[in-house]
Amino acid sequence: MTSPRSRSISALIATLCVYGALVATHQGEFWPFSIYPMFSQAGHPWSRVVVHEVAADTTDGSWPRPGRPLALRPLGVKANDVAALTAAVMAGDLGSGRHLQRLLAAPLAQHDLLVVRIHGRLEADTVALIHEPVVLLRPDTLLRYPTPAP
Amino acid sequence: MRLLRSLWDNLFDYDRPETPGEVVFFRLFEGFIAVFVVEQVWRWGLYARRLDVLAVPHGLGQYVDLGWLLRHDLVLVNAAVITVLMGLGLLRRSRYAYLAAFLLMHLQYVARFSLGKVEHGANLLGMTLLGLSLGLLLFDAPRVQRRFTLGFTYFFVGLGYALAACSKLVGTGLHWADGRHLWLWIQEKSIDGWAQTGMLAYNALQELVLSAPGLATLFLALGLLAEASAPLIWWRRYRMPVLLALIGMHVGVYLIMGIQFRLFVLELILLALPWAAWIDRWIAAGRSSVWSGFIPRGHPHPAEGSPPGSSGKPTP
Repeated sequence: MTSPRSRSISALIATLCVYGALVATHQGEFWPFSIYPMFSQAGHPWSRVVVHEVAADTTDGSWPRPGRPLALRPLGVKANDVAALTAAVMAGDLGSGRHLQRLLAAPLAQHDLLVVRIHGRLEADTVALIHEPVVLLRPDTLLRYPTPAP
Repeated sequence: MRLLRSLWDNLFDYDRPETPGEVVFFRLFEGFIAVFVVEQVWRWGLYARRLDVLAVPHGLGQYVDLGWLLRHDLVLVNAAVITVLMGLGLLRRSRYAYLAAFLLMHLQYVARFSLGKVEHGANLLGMTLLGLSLGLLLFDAPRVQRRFTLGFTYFFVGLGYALAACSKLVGTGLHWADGRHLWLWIQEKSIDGWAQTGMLAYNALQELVLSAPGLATLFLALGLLAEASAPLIWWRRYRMPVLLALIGMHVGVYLIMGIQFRLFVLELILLALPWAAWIDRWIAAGRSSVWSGFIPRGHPHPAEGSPPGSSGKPTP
């Protein structure tokens, strides 16, 4: 009969081996195991998104301009998810566009929405921010820049 | 060998007698885990029911199609089952309840975080649930179950933070602590804050850090040091100061970057402070009737003092 101590050590080491094997073969993540890789790549440029209501319909064929920023928190939507879905849409995954429309269905019923990507990078001793409108969302349509203006 | 022996002694501490305060503390700690597991799985379930496909499956979702979880509100059914299992585990009605809850919680996590970004806020909670599961499965004696669960949790808290520090050193190197990197993250998280609230604003501490690269470097270096020293919590004597340093790091991360690791901080507060000793003192001071239901038979009441011939500590 093994002692509690040696049984505990065996259980800990076995868990550690499983942990190691799972994170090593799954890019550092297999819930609840993780090597916590966030923030490990310091100084790299990043991209985030902010969703704006569309200012007003344009009639001259140009893309609508961003109006008031849309607060996602009251909608119970995470900015991380919108950023990930937008990245997938930009990579050509239209299924992610449908996800985006579904997550933002409530505000889309009121306004068209413009997803603006913001790129940040270090330039000397400042952080440069570049705003780039990327996706126009309507309840039943999704248009990607640089698609010709609607 | 001596180091390893000292490590196991400090982690599991089986030779040290258990006090009534430790028993009470553990039940409260377990209750905390149960409450927040239930809170998380419902939160994840309510979010996931708005999704219709696992866009970027991870975990077990990479091997088994778990898309069915998103149909017919099964994520809510899963949350309800986990809630019942946590209750069964807490009441010791089943040795397998916590393990089943742990596995179903993994599925719930996969269902929620399948859009391309994962979150780590509940990782420590999950590890502790795994420790509780293994404790109940592997040991019969409640005292050993408790000691194992806490030792297991201390071990993986220390390991997790150490791995986070290693990731930074491997991913970037020692210059990870360059304060300008913190500027980039402050801006990145401010944009997230803008997306969440509709307002772009910086607090006074952020303004200060953005104007003082030396201060930014100092904050990053202290954070990295706190993470790298986390394995010291495997030894009792360093446990409280290092855990308090980690809590301080999380408070700093929240104030400077707006990232809230609520569950990590709450659990670290439970693990860092000498709650058991405080409860013992409280019981000994005569306000014990509230706690008597938590104390198993055979444990001396702290107010009664130690049995004759003992070393002055309660017996195991």
